[in-house]
Amino acid sequence: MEPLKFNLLKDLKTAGQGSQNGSGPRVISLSAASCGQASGALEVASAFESAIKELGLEDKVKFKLTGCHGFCQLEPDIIIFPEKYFYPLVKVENAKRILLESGLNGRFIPELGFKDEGTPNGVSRLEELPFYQNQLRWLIDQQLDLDPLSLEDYLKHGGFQALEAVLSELTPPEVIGEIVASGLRGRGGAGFSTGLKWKLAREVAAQPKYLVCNGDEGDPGAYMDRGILESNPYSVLEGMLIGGYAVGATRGFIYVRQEYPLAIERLDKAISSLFQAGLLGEKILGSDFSFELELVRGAGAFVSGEETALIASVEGRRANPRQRPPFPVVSGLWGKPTVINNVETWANIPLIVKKGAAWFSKTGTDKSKGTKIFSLVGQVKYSGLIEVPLGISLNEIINKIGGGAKSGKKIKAVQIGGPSGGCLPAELFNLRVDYESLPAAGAIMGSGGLIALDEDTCLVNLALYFLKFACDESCGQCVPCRIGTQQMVSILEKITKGQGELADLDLLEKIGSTMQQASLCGLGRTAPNPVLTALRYFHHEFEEHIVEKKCRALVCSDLISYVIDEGKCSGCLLCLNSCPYGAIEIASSGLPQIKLSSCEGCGLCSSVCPEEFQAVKKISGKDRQQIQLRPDGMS
Amino acid sequence: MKDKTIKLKINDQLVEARTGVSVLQAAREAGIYIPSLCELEELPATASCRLCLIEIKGHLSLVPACSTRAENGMEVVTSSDRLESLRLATLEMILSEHPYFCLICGEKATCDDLKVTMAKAFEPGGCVFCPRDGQCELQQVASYLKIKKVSFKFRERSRYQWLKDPFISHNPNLCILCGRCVNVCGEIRGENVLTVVNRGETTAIGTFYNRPLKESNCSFCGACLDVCPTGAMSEKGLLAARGEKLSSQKLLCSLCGCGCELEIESREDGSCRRIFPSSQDQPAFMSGCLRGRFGLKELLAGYKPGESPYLRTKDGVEKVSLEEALSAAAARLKEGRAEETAFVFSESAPVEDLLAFISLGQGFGRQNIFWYYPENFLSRLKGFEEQNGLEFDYYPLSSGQWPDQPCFFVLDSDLKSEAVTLWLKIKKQLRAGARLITLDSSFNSVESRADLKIKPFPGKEYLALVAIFKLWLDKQPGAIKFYPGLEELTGKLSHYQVEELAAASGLDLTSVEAAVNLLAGNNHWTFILGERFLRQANWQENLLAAWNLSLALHGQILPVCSRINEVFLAQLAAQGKIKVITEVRRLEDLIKEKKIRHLYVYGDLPLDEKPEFLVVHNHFFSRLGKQGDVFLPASFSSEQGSHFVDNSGRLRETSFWQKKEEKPTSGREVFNTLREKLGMAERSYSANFTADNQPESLAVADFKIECKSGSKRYLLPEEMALKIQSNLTEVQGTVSAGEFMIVVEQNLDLYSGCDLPTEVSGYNQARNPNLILINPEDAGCLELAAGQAMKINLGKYALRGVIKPDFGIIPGVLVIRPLITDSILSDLYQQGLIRGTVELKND
Repeated sequence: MEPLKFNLLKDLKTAGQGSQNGSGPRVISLSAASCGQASGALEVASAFESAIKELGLEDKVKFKLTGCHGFCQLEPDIIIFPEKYFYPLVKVENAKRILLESGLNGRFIPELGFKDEGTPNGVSRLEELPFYQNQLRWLIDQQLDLDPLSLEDYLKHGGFQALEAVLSELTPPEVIGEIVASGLRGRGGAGFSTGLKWKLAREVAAQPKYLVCNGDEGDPGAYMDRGILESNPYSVLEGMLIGGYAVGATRGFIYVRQEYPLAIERLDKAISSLFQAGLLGEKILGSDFSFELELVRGAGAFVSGEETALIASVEGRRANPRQRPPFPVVSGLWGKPTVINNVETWANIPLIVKKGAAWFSKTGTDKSKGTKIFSLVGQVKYSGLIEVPLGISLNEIINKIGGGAKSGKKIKAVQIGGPSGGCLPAELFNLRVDYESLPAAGAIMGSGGLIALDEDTCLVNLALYFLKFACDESCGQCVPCRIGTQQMVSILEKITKGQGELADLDLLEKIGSTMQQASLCGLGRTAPNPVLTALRYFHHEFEEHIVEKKCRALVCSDLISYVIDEGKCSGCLLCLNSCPYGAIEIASSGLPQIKLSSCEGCGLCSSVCPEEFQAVKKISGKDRQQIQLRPDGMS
Repeated sequence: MKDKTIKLKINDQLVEARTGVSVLQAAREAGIYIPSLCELEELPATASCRLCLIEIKGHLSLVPACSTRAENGMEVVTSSDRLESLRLATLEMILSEHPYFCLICGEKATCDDLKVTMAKAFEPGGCVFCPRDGQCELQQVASYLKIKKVSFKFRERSRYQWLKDPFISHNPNLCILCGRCVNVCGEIRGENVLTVVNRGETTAIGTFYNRPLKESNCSFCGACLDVCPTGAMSEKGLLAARGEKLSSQKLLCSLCGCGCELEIESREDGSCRRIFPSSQDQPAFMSGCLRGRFGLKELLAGYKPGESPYLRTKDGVEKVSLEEALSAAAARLKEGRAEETAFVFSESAPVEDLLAFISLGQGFGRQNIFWYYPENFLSRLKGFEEQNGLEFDYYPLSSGQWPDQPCFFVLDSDLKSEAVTLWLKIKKQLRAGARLITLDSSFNSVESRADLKIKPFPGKEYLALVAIFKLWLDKQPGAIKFYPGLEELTGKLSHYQVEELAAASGLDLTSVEAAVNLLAGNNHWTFILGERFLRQANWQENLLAAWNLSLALHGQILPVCSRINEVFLAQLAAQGKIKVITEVRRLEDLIKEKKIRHLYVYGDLPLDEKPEFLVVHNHFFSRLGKQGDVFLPASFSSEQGSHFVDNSGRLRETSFWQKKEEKPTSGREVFNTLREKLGMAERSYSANFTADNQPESLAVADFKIECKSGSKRYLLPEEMALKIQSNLTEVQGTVSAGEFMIVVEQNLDLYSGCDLPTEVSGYNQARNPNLILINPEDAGCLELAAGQAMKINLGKYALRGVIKPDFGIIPGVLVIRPLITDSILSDLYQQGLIRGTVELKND
């Protein structure tokens, strides 16, 4: 097929017209972003493709490899349009059946559909799934049936209509006015007004100006940006084109972390197709606007996501943040005014232009408008990429979209905002998710990581995990961050080993407050948040570790022991045979017993104990001390 | 100093400050101390230590004073409970990684006497064992903040010290990662050797792939030692000096034309503890280099003033008193005929002593007083100017002022080694947005900092310049500044194509185009000429091409004088008071022909032909000294009122007294004694140069490169046009296998006959004169690996050296930097560019 090429603005307009009329063959859409591919999407795809070829159905159905559908745990999944039939965990052997019955004939196959205890009768259509019901999927709904590599498909979905409108009808100040009026705030975490940022950059006299898309998504467990870049790269590029026009920039950089090979590959193709189509380059579509985009791969440092560090990295230097001001809008790349926005922010731009600021700002709270994408992971029943209106309560996210706890245990906290965010307890689940409420509670919006934690999570251990991460990823430049994180890690390690003192908690507070006030960049200033919020809301867990030597979640290995519950034990002796340390002996009762003095705590006995008995259990605190005190040291 | 233009309030005190300074600087100038460990004046602020955080009214968060510009009307609080407790916590953090026991020890006050602290093996366990003790900024901050305890666990980093390099050692366990060394290395000196490596708790100062400095292109300027706030970067082998009484003296370094002010820190016994650039007028890191700070230290330490005069007798060599030596010398000099007696000197003595020597020589007639000036650089420049009736527009370096947004076009000059202080000034301008083009056919350590580097084939520099001129003329004839001769020049150039000119100079068209774009797009160009630009067969063409281009841009010319006193002596030579001798061979011929029978050498000379009677008068007992019939030691110490003339023409005073010397004898004294013995009238050579027939210009403080008036006009003589024509047909880079164009670079490491790489231990590792630089691809073709021995055949002569592949060398070229110790090398040096074949050294 000839690559698309546009010469004039009106070409673009006609290209988008009359495309979304819904007629035509059924579309079978397979989720095939990185995670889908990891779950076998490509094998499923080839099964479909060969079946279509074999049966000669090329004209009757349209098979599409799309990006992320959002419901991660059920990948690879298939959605069949226009009915929006949903098939989770599709297997190669079912390909032909789905193709024929649903793809060709439009009949749903109930036994391949979604079903769980909440929906005992099964669910046939996407919108009936509880996971999708409470979302507001402005950005990511498009991904359900969009071929991320096809410019044509993007145009059919209304792509580049916003750019067309901007170039033909709006002056740059008008575009900025629209963005300001929309109330869009930076989705990278800090939540600065995007429109205002653009305005500031536009007002700086220095030339040239640059745009940067920050795709260095580094929070553990967060993958919102990857989702967009892999599933809908053109929306980001269109946003940047509009931004370039509005700000007066001539060159843009998309900084994507090297660890996202698929996103890089798709962006790379998307960018070159735009150059080919005449949507990037000199005098775009006959207008006076020229713009170039370049893909820059990150070198694998969490801190590169900090905007000044990112600038250094793009310039080819070590990704060290620098003191602001000057802010990048005044002095960014090569000392020139630079607008840095997050992937999701850029993806919002075409939407705002198309639908209008007034429409956009209807959703959300007073100061936080629009939607936000989160990666909802952890101990919830349904996990995945979700998009919700700002101002939604944590409760709705966790219990409605997430479906509550996976294990039947209670969700006790949610970690929001990654290593820079905080843990909020269940009592605060009525809190609204917006740029003001979260910081007030000690967390941050962050870029959108949301981890639900149940009773099996030790908050001390979790705080240690995040601090270790921050400690390893600190650029090492400024004292509070480099040394503060180290000291915090060593204190937390001490506590998880049961060697802590109550005075250590004051020390943690002291380090934390020093880091918050004195660190050079956002990484250092927010790094203590996981510890400080854990201390604030779960102080008792710290105290238990220190005073009672107890880990209530039974996680901290130095504070737990394994014992065999004689009431449950059937005496199969699997544990005795598997213990590598010979720490299990046969007691007078004839049942095995763990000799604590020999036990190394490897937990093998627990894992070999058949599920129906579950006789090996972990104990901590007082129970454990009592056993330790027994003269025979037997549990 | 610029006008104080803004007013701000610091701690309720109204303070005036210059615009553009940081709050920290404004406070410092007002006498208000804000603790800081990473900030240094002139160094770009990194704001990494976080000690200088301050409160500013209207700001929600705290800001670092070092990176915050002082603004009019600002209200600043530099000390409050909140700030001080944060600072204390930050200092505690710093000290949790840096041995601090001595800082908080209760016995601190009495420790100097008791010396009770024990050292751990090979590690300073406390300040008493740190070479920086007493000068450590961490100690200052700790005492300001009155730290009593460190509440954090001490984290022993147990990292390896850097011990593989000469002169510089680094103890990472004392490093607080302030980043100053990295900053000074990259931003100020343009070296980019030191960098921050790793992240998190393993963050450290390192080099590329953690190679030792000597393998990382480090020039061993020592600036990292000047900026380190702790003992992390220290001079190798330097020990703690607690309890010692140190004194310091100033010494003007005469090892190159820069004339850096050095400070010599001596112990009570007069031995030199360390030498470092003075920070009186500018930060220490803005001057100084390996030669002065490390070379000189060893020389001073090793120099024995007792190295007595000697006389050569039939039986050999006899040590005698100065008096006896002078009598013997006078007696023989008296015997000789005046016209057969020659006086030759090199540049490295104070001008007063040189004048006394010249005056002594004049007593024998004016014919035979020679300045040994192997580069013949300024003389060629001025000779050319006069001969062609031109009037060059020289850049007045001594003024110290650059125009706004200056631009530099550097021609065949490795500024870092030829005039490091000039480079540092230029580097500073580059930070502020100045542009730099380098055109160099040989190795150039500053070209990596340039906006554009042009690498023509050696000897074809002028063709490259003509190509640039021609392309510009073709593109924008109107942009060329008008002077007489433009039309004629345009006409002559119309015979050539830019493409063929570029090809003949070994360039591709893109670099010529880039040069034109840069030249046309910027103003205030200074053309910086290195001595190598004129030390080659095509020097006249080179100079003319540069001249024409500089005219076209209204540019100025700045010759880089790499030797001390060069400007002054060139002036004397221009006035006809002395002669310049460039080729030692000519002197040897005169000796062979018996036209010179008696020779007095003050300084050093690579002479291989011994005259009938030879007096050698030098600091060092050099190779020539060993051949002398009389050897007179020259003193390192200089009297009050001794002067040198630096490369900007400024007259610089120096006085240095080596303490272990009981009776220093200056050149003046020696020459006056000789005068007396020769029956000449006594003369005085004081600072104000009152003696009768002194050059008039000595009465003024500074020297300018002056010329008889000429005119500004474009010039392209017929010979040059012909030369261009003939060169166009010669295709470049046609060196047959193993045949190379060899560039003989200047090497200033031979100081007054003293071979620093040999005499100073470790110097050889830092700067090895035996290296042969080669393009890595050429090395690959010849299967030559780095460090391999190699022989270059030059017909009757062979040069041996060690291979060093370097991407700065263009294919077909070898670069050598021999120390000119004999007349054959001197001969090669005169030629500048020679052809030779390469042979693997298997013997």
